[in-house]
Amino acid sequence: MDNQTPLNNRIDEILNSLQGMQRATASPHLYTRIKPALAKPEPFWIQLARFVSRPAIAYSLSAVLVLVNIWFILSSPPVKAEIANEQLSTLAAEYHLSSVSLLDPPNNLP
Amino acid sequence: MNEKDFIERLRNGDESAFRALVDAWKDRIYNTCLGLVQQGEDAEDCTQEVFITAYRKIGQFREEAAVGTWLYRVAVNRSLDLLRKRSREKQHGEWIDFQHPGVQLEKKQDAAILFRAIRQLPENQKVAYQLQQMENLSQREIAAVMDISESAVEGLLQRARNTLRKILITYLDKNK
Repeated sequence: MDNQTPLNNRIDEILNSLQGMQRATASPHLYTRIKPALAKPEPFWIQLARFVSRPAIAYSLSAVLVLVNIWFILSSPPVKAEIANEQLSTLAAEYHLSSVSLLDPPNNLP
Repeated sequence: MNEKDFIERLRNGDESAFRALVDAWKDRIYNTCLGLVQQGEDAEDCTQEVFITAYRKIGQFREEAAVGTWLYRVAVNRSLDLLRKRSREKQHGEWIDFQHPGVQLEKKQDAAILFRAIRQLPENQKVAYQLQQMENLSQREIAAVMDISESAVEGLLQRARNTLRKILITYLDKNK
């Protein structure tokens, strides 16, 4: 406990070392340095990214994508299940596909 | 002139308004960047980027926040980007002790130890603690800058102080 107090005091001293500090000052030529960068046009891709990332644009684009998807789903003709099943069974018969079980006898064919 | 008119002038690309904005805020923004990145050159770059971003993005500025709050927010984000970039590039690099020019002479050594400990804080705690210590912002102002509640700021500051204590205990034990 006796060791703790000097340690705590030292920590408090360190933690309080920023008290009374002055604000650091920026270079007096800051504006002169900024000015040429302001005159330069932004690269096209940054401008595009900034435009697309605007909430109104981003939400509108998402809504358009969702609507296009819905339109595709609704406008495509429904697949006839019977035809699809028939095609599958023909395919299964052609390639001798059947369910394999561990209890099946081993296939010794060359 | 009120802030609304001032922002309108900035939006219209009025150079004298922009210059007034830079003159009024450059030291606060530089000090914030410096506290977070802890390096003079990087803090200069960060300050320049903040004002260039402000000039280009003033059209997106929402007027429910004060322009100063917005500038602080841009400064914090730029500084954190710089720190992340630096930690990717110099994963195992040695840190040089940071000496803030505004610290009182007799406290410089302790402040360097504290700044070294601050570097080890998680991002949110670091931002909240630095804005309070370096810029003397109130919890309400910090909450506005970080876009979180005041109670969240209080929690962050408490956790930051506790973490700093633990880091300093370890440091002092090692350097007896």
